Amino acid sequence: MKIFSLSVVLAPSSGPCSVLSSTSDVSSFSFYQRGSVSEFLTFFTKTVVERTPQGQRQSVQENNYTAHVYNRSGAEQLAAIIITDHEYPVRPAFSLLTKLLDDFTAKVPQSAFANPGSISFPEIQTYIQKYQDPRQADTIMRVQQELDETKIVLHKTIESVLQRGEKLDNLVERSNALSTQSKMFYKTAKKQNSCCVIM
Amino acid sequence: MSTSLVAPLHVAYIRALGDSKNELSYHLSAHLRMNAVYWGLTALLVMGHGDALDRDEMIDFVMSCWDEEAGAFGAHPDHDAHMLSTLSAIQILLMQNALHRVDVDRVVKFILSLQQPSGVFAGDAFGETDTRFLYCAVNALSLLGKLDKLDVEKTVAYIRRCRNFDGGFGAVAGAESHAAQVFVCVAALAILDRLDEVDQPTLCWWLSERQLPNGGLNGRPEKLEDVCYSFWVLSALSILGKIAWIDSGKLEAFILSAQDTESGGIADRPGDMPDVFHTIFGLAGLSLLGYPALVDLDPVYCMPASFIEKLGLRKGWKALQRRTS
Amino acid sequence: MTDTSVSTQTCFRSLASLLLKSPSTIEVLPGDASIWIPDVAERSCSPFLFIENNLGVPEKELRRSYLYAVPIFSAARKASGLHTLENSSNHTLSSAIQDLIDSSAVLILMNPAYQTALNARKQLIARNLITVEQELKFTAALLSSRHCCKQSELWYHRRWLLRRIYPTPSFPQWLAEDVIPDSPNFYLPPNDLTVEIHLVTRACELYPRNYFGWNHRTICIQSALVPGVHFNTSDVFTEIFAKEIASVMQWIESHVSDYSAVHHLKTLARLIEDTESAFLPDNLLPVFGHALTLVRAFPEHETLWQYLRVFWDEGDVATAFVASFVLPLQSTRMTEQENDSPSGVQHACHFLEWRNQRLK
Repeated sequence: MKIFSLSVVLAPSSGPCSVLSSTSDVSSFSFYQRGSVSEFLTFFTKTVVERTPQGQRQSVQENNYTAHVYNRSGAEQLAAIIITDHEYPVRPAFSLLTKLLDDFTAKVPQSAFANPGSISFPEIQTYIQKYQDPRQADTIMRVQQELDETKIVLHKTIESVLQRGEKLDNLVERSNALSTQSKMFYKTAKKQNSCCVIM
Repeated sequence: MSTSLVAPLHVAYIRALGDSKNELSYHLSAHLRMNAVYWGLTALLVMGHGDALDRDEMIDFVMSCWDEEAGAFGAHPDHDAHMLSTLSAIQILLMQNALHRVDVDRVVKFILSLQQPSGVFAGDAFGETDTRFLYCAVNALSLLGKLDKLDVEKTVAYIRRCRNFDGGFGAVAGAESHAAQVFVCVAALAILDRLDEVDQPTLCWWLSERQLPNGGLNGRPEKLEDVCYSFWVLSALSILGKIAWIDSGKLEAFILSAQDTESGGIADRPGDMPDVFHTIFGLAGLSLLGYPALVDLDPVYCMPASFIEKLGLRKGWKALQRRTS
Repeated sequence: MTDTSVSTQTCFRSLASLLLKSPSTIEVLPGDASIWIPDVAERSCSPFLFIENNLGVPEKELRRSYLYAVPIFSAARKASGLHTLENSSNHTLSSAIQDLIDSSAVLILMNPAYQTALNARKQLIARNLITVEQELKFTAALLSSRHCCKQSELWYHRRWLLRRIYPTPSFPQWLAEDVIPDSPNFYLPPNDLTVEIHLVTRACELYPRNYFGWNHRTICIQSALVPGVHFNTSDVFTEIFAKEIASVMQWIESHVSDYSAVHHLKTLARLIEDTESAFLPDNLLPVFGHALTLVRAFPEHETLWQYLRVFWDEGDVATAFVASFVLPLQSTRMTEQENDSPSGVQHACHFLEWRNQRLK
């Protein structure tokens, strides 16, 4: 049960989004994989946020990751996204996103959004550490009462949130943010689950 | 995805395995070659095409794996003798009516030399122990008609030590229950006529809980479903007369959905690459489920039932009745 | 397209020598060396990465090294006359022996179930042509690799080594070679136990629900507790048990689908029963409550319901739990949509049936 990354993203109704604050924990990955995993987390974050309509919550699975996104929109046009493994439970994930957005808007003025480099929001580190155990979210379970779970759509693959004509393979191939090594990892990650004997 | 068995494609797939085009995959699987030949031949026999591979060539291959020093068979010429490949060799020769080629005395000596003070068997002289090797020993001795040479009490005592809280069995005493290890322990007890050692209600309950909503079976809690467990779980249930404890229709549909309907063979699960291991265990499962036009498979020995009946070794297992269409 | 900037022979020898350097981790990387080492001159020396003692092996280079190693291994085995366990003396470190060491290492990295290659290394160790310490480092490195860390053969190979270092008194060193093992047949000093547990922990992160990793852990704990060896005081027993129980409980909290960990905990409980020590069971008191808490928090995990069954203790607490949690959960309306994985509701139903069976 792990949180790999947590981000607050500026998501205007049209056009590309920009990450305002972000943190990740790739320590559980092997040495040569870490760089690629970090790149992929950023890629996954942007790809999913840009395809989450304003006002919606959704969960998207891809390979061994699940991304939970809440695009709260509103005046600030903010979205939050958490990328976890498949074990991490859904409700605490969304509770955490709501709390994160509240905290972020309280501490960071909207005027700073235009210049993400200037934003200081160290609290995000505390979130990723503390909520590695989702039971910590019990303290914020009140939020979950307001959360109508049936409205959260679970997508079993990223393909189902892509627009018509879009293919993940092509997005990965075209991405400038992914290195050659990362693209190689992506291609081979698809077949990792075979059980017993390989003939 | 198919709703019926594409047997001709599977026959063609297994035949083509012999003409290895890929050097790497050939050498990567050499340590399993003898087992692979057994899987392929059994699969063909279950589909009624036992003659699809050249008999003489197969027997020559088996004999070329004889390890003169150990007095048993390796998986490939140049590989050390091992219990796993020795059982496969005996099974192949038996199914090809060539058991006379085996130096029975030496093989029996090899097998018996591997039993440990605790009753478990090692796989070879280097000593890894596992209930799989115990099953191989019991199965092989039984097929060779030499079960009287075995210390049955000691053997059964070890299996008893492997029984867990959930009724299942593990690889060694103290190890977690695993459906494949359940099969080997239950089948060994069946051969030894000692099924009274099984906590049947508890075990069958655990086995039936291996079925997932998509119909497939897994081998332990929260693992993915996999076609090979169609045999490990189902054979144990069949030996214990409890196939009805799982949804056979859904399991059958799951196995069929894992077929490669373009080039033949069955994969671990739908959409994956097929291999001969999952092909035989998928077909074995279908045979036990009464799938039309397949040959009866003996779940204790995982060989066509006719061979086992001829030897007078048939036990009281129950499969679903074979359907006509 | 094959990268021709480095010959297969160089590739093979380079890999073999890097494997001898006891890397702390080994990783098989996708693609060929050109992706990982763009500089042609650099990769023509060695197409492998070795940074901060971490070995990176591009898959294509590993494949061709493997194919190159197959005939070398076969020839070297014949030439060195090592294909039996029988002791023949006067072996010098000839080129055949070096070939055997190199080729077996490469074969095992690509194919950790290659029994004959593992056997060859055991024979080399038996003749002191590879030291046990060296081989322990080699296996530790292999077990850091995802495709290796689930292989029973490799874990067993490691225990074979441990047995050579720490045979139990009833199996003196000179006998240990001939007596075929059956666990636990070695004793493990506390420091070495820590090393093994660390290896298992890493392996179980790399490959979740790692059957043979957990089995190794269980055997090592048993081996640390072999009675009548170097300690027999209840203090040491209690310390090992208490620490292990606490760390496994913590593991289950963050790996709620790892039933192997639950089974290991059950095996510890059995061992405690067997020692018949009066105060040891205290360490197990919190376990049932732990299982209850986790099922409440994550009811969709079968592992936790099994955890509950394994340590189920019929009584007031149990009855209250059924009434306040299981029965309400069971009666929740099942969600309309088709679900691939069983839900908490289904687990609750199975659990109640199981309990009813037991109460009969």
